[in-house]
Amino acid sequence: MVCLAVLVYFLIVYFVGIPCLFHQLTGLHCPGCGGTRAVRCLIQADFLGAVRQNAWIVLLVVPWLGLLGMSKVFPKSVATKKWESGLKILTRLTAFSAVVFFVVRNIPLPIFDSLRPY
Amino acid sequence: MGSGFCRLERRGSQLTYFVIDKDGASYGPATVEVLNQWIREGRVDASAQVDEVETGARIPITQVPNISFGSTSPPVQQNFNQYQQSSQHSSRESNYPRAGNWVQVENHLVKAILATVFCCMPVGIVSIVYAAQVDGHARRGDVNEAHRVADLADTWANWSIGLALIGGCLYFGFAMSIVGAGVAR
Repeated sequence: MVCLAVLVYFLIVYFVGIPCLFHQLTGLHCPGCGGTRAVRCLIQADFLGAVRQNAWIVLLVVPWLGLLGMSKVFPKSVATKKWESGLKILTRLTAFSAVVFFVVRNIPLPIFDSLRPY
Repeated sequence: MGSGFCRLERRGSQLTYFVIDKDGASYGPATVEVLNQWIREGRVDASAQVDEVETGARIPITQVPNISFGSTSPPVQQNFNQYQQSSQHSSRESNYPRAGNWVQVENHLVKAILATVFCCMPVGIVSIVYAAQVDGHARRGDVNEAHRVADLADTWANWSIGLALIGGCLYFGFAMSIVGAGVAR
């Protein structure tokens, strides 16, 4: 079921793209804007392009989701105390950076252009 | 939600109490034995109040059954600070307050991040902000506030998911109607 959902997600990402309603309504970039394009870049092994589209998702959310998924799939072999605390720290970091990223990428200065998707 | 409550209920065979600090924070839950140990160690004095976990009633610590006070008790605050600084005893249950044994409250942080990433709604950011506060309140011993904030985080994450679903359905319907109009023409 989860695998099917992931497969459908990747197919949609690759062939269609998911538009951001918030961006269409307000013109602002939400923290996830450019995420679909970033994943498409990752599928094409274009790491820099992916970072350029959405640095937060590529640098933090993807590793975090990977670790989270591993600790759910292999709870016994992987989820040691050390792992758990590391995952907790990464979770907090991801959450905190989401807020910062959302604010910073909407500041209309050329310095922050690289944080906005194109 | 609720993992904190579950932990309390498992201790339910004995009466357990939260000690209320002078600044309103609560420590525990602790059994009468643990309370007595804290009193012997000078961390709790006779002026303290406790919340009974099972009934929620707030009573002076002197009215707790089987509680025993020695002749002297050093100032409470000084000892709190001492236990804040040392973490070497953190595996001992008697090491409440503030030594790593705080009541865990489900903080919904994972759900909040997922809702932010996949739902394209800044509503998820609100959820993250609330979820990030949960552990702080729980660490301070303010379990009620922690639960309140955790519920808010959960609600905002659900709103994010719901809005994304509604928006997605509308968008899909809109796109399909355009495609349909194109085909009909």
